[in-house]
Amino acid sequence: MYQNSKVIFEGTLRRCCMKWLVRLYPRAWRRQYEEEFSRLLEEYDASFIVILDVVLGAGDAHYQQWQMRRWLWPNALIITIGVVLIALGLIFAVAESTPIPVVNARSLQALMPFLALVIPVISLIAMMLHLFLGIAGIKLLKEVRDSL
Amino acid sequence: MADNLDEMGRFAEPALLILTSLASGSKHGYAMIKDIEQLSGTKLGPGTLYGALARLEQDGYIAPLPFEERRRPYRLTELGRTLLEKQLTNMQNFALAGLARLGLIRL
Repeated sequence: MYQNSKVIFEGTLRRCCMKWLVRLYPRAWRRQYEEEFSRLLEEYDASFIVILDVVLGAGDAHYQQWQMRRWLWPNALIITIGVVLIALGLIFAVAESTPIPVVNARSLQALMPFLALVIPVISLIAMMLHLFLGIAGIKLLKEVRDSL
Repeated sequence: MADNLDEMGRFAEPALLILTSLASGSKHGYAMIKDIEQLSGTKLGPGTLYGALARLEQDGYIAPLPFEERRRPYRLTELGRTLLEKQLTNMQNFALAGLARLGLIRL
């Protein structure tokens, strides 16, 4: 009876420990590997070496994610700035082609509410578009590689 | 994308072991660990195995197959096969050169 309780207790403790260990990994990693990784951990005893290996693996997975983000964000920023500059150029080109000259301070003042609304909207659209295209691009790249 | 396993740092050796294990057919994580242990005497930890697996999958050297009872098997891609062939040929050339220098074989 005591032996059975001990086994059940140890099993529960081990499962909790392993579940907690898996949570050390980044969310994106867990979305892809959590189920199979948890299943694999069930085959192991919660020894110090195994726990250390999993903790180091989690640290590495965070580092990998950070590396990817470090690559993605400067690109997002450059593209966003580029799109905003093009949009500004277009706005001024349209403004120049209208009968009201832009160089006139009063006409610039009249354009301000329009610019204040349009620039953030364009920036937001550019960022969303880049993020969406980036994620879609990564997925597409993976699919192409998998099919090879 | 790494076209050389050395670029995988501390995961280079586990990655080579995984590719070699998958060369005989698709396997899930635990089957790979057992196969690698039998093949080389190295027992990979779960963190090390998945660190190398994630890199190999990201670089397109292996591909996941559908789940089988909460276990996901992986298969070697053509790209992975080419890389493994290149790595093993390099190792073979190195081993032959070393043995020749020891005077154990003639090249």
